[in-house]
Amino acid sequence: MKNTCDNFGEDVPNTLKQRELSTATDLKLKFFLEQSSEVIFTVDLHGLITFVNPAWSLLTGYALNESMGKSIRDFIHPDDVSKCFPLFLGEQNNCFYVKFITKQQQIVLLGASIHVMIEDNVLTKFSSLVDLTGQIRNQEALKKSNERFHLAITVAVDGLWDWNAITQEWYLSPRWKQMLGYNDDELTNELATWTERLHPDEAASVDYALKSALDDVTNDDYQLAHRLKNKAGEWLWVLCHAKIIRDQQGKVERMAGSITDISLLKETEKQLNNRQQELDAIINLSPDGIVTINHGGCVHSVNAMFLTFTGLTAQGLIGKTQAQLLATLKAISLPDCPAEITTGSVFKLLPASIFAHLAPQVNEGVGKNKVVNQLSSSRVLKVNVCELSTDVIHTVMYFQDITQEIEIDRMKYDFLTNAAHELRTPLSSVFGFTELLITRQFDPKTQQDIFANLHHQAQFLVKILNDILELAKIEARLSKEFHLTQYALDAVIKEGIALFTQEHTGCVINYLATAEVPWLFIDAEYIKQALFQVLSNALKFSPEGSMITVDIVGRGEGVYEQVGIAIKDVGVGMTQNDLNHIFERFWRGSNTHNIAGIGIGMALVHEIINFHRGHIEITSEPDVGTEVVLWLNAHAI
Amino acid sequence: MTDNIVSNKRPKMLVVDDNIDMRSLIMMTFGSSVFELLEAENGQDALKIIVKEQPDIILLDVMMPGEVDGIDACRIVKTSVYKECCVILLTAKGQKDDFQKGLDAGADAYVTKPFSPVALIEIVNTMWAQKQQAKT
Repeated sequence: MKNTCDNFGEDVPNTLKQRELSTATDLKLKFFLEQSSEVIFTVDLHGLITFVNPAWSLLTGYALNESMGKSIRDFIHPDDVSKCFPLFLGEQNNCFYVKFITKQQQIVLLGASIHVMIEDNVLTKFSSLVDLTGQIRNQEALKKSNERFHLAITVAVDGLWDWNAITQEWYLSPRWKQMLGYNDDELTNELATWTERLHPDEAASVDYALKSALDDVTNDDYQLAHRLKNKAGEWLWVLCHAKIIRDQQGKVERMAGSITDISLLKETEKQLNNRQQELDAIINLSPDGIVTINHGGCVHSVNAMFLTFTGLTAQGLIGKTQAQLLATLKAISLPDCPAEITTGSVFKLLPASIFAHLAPQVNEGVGKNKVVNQLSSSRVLKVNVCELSTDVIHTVMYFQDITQEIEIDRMKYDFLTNAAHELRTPLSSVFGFTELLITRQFDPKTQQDIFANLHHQAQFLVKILNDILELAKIEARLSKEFHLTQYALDAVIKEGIALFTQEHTGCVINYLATAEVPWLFIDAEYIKQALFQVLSNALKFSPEGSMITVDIVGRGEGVYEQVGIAIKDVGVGMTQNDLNHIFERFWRGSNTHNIAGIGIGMALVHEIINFHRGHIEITSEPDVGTEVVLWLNAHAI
Repeated sequence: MTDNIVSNKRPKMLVVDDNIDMRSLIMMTFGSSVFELLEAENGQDALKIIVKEQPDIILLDVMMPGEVDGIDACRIVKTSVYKECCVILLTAKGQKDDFQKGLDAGADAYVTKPFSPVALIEIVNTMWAQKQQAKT
């Protein structure tokens, strides 16, 4: 078959002339070609343009003379070249979609038709192009659509897709398929290609989002991130971005867009999220209080420990200015607090703030003071301020609890003053009396008295030494030193009292045993020691001959949950300040000067009861008396 | 004439300490001396005895219970009509600031525990001799 490529128009080739068309027909044809809104053109067997009508210029933006002789291939969108270019060269009637790129770098979707005529054994072929985007009457939408499309296409890594709602035709660009690891011919251009590859977790939400976007006539945007399964069976995160084009009635005519591989973004997001969670966990587990300040100078976040330290609430702090934060801290601190929050600032929190927070039952009854295992009266916070260069956080304030350090310092000081005082008194006796014995002559009776005194002083020194060693031993938490066995508390108390009255003859102890108590898991020896210690305090701080009462008390629903040993005296009592310090080592009450002791008794009791996972409650009133309750758990510990 | 009567009388020494063992040690230390010995176990009692007995020498413990400790008692005596008497502070405390506090309160001497009874006798005797010399 002879294959010729016929031309029309001014540059009329010889083959056409040979057909001897009449001038009238020729003119009609020329008029039709020039006025047609459809592009009509012919190409030779290499695809070079041999003729185009003026509509070409309108559609592509290229002038006729700059298009003639060029390959049609040059105008086809790269995605479509492999598929569509051969169709333009084919010799059958054909109809297909093709995307062209205009001189303005815009993409136009075209319907291409190839018309082949064989007459007198001569093949005549011409092609026509219809601008499908031109069907859309809403020029504004078209413009936006083109911009969006242009945007999508310029990002070379994106895959493109297009859906014609009228014809229900789908187009998935080669790049779309390539992103999932397929060649262009491996996947068909249909909706199922997409939907079959959705992640089961997201299939429903994609469907819903798409339907919502299409149903909302005021909307022409669609955007959703979801996963698609690639050829290797792995999940790929893509961001699907599309434009909906509607007719004047709002009916969807077309939807086209791109997919972008955001797996890396998602992975980064996941890592960031993990990091954030790690950081959050660290911040919230931190033994230090942390407050962050944003660029506006306001509190951005506070961690759990800061709230524990201060007894404040997060709602009350977030959004406050630095000045307000300082004022809040000042309100709960001792008066000597710093004028600003900078590195090295030290806030001594009022005991009340912690106290009220932990034990709301303070001050029941006028003049009565109460304490529940209150070890440290005042928390001391030291500030470190660090400035950051992040977008959100400007400053990080770091509140270190240095109560322990201060406490150790205070203990050292108190040990030096109180313990040294107590050690020096017996030592002074030993030193002085021995010197007198050496330098003077005494009658045997006086000599005997002096030796008895020396022996008494030595005993006192041994007791102090033992107390200190005992405390150190319990401190070391050598649990093997404790032997928890089931005991009848009643018997243990009786033994403890007997032991005490043996050593302190003339002391009157009234034992009530009000509550009937089940057997408890305790270390009887240590409980007796604790009772002994509390009893000796009661005795030491009471007028001679006054009554000390011991009782068993219980609390809890039905069967007692907690059982207490209550020791009550009518002695000198203690002030709230005394009570705040009572469990501190080497601390001595304000009215204890004439009573021997170095201030470790209650610290010892505290350690013993703590080991039993119990707690101590002390109620006291100066000049009225003191009640100490050693609470133990009734159930096995 | 009057002077003679005063000097013939035994000088008085007041021992103030809350610890009975310390008091008995000091009493024993000065048991065979020229001094007539008086005792008090706290600051308030000491002040009462001072008014009543007008002692010549006061051995005063610093750390004592009650409203009036040794430093307070010393300051009261040294700013009163009885300021002529010698005050020797006795204390378990040996820190510098306590020493300074004692001097500021007007104490004549400062002895830290444990002390040597022999040395204490010497200090008291020297001080008593100086006081006698100042009088004549």
